[in-house]
Amino acid sequence: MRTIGTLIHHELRRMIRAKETFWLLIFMPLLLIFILGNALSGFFDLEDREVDPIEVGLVVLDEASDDMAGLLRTEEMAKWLSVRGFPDRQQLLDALEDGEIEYGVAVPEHFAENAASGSAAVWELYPGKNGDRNLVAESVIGGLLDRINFVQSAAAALGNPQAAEAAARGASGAEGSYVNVTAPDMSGRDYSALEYYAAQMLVMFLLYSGMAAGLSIVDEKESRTLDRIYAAAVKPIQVLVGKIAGNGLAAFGQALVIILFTSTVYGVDWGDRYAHLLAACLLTVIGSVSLAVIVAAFTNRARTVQAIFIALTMVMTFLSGGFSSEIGDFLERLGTFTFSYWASQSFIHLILNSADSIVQERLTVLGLIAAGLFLISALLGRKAVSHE
Amino acid sequence: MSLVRLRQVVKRYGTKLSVDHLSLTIERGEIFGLLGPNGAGKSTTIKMICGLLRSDQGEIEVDGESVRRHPLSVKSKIGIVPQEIALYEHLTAVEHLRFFGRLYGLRGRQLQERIDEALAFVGLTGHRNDRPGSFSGGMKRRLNIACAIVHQPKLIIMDEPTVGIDPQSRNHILESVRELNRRGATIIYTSHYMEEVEAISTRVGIIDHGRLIALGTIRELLMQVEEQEKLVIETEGLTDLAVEEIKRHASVQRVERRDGVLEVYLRHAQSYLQDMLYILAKHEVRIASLRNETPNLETLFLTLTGRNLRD
Repeated sequence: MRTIGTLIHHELRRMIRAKETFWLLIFMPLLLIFILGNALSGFFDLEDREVDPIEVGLVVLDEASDDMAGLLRTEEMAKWLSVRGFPDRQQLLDALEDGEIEYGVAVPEHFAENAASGSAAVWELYPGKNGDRNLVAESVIGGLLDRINFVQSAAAALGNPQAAEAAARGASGAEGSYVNVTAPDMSGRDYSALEYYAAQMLVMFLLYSGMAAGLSIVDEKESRTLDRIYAAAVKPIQVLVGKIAGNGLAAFGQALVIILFTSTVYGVDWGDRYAHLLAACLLTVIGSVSLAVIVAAFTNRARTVQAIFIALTMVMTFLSGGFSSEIGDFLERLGTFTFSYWASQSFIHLILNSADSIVQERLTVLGLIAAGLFLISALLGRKAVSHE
Repeated sequence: MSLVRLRQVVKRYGTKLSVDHLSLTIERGEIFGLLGPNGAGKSTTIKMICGLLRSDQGEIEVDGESVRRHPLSVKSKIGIVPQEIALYEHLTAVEHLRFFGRLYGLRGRQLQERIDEALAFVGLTGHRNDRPGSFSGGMKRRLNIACAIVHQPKLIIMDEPTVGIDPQSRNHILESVRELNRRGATIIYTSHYMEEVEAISTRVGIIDHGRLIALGTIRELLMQVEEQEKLVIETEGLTDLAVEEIKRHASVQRVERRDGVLEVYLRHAQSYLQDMLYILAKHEVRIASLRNETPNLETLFLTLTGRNLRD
């Protein structure tokens, strides 16, 4: 253990003293989060611009409200909304979670009856993952519902006093709307551009930190210092553990700095589920360091490790929406096969304050991939740190 | 009593035989010079002794322990000074020694004392807090040595430790080798600078194509080529008759003539020098310069392999 401790200390000192460490691992991610978060915030704000029709899922659980719900499918609405029907609420929520649709609308059972009697009657709106698309959908559907609310209220007013009161409130645009906005987990929120890129850049730069482990191994081979370490009474497994743990700790420190800085300076809300946040960081670090060891097993040249790792990180970050949230269905689907996707999804759902089950599902997939990478790196580790 | 013993050791790289059934014994307290041209198998042999490479066949023992069966124990008894300067740019001299000292299991006061001793030994005490980037080539070589001796090993292996350094640093290193030996360490010193090996070694092994082609003290080895003493005579007016008469002299082995320069290979050149001068004078050949070249390890290597050591 003492030998491993010496190697970990050596690794941490190497990183701390490297000139590029601060710039590459701390300053760059914070700068990129700031630049991307501000420059691309237009995609996250409501502005007067061309918007592709939003994929809206609709479930009508009240037969009497069919006609009313059909207003969402009119030609006028088609400019904004592309509506797809679902048989029940669960399937609609599943499709929303899987990204098949961007927004959900449910007309609940007895809606028309309740509305007519003046009882509480609301449509349920389910925002998706993209803040700006949610706002557009809410705006369009909200406008329609304001009209429906007014007509409904006026009609109700002819029936009983309570309904008349509701009609008055609806006409004034004050409280008492029939529309209720909710997230799939009933507690969710949107994310800002800064929050989105904070999650994405955190993942991207944690991957870069992993690369440092691979570079360190190959550097030691190139400078022959690895021979020198092995000339002492040191086993290859100790070198491997020292490299992984040293660089893993450095990456962990990097994650902590990014999270604390973006939280206090940029106002990114990472949520209050610290165990989940810790797990997401830990699994991302394990995956990235393992990936670095795998790459280092196949080359003895630092430049090759760097080139492979940068290419891998860039491609995975792009496919997981790290540079732009709208990359097309095919690439988005391809992105689900990347490590970055599941890592960033874990962080984003923590920011979104999604339900525990949703976060845990992402963390489970992330954990499985990290475990797989770790196993492969353990198998190839001896080759990676071999000096022969 | 032997400290290092190799028995029929073989190492292959693919189909190339790098070390070919090498058997060798190195005694305690020796400075053993391992000579050979580049690619002869010196570094491979050393790496196998240190446990950095596994032999394909044969057995290697250090201090009575098998390298294959007890690699960590063997490693703790060895300090290796690699051919390349294997240092970290981000560590100071003292941090290098602390790092490697810890890897050899040293801690606390003992570690600090060994660090101070090693730095003083290589003359870097005044540069203990400097990084290699500010060092000259010779200083880097000395730090390279200090890293290998910080744990005071029984066996110190120096693989071409003087490559590319100034004469002053070279002398310092050679004197350090002698001093380490005086303090009780056994040294294996590899080089293709035969004059260095001649200067410090008590015994020499010459290796070529992975095989040991000569082994013994310098005196024993040079006896094999004593007949190859050479008189180099620069002449004016050299005639064929004079050359023929010199060739006929009983002590002369061989004569080579290049323009006016005559190279005469003979035994006991000092004894027959007068004879040579007499023959040349008789043929009215004037002598511009004359020197007597005694055989050395280079000559021996050339005789054994037909190649120069530095080829």
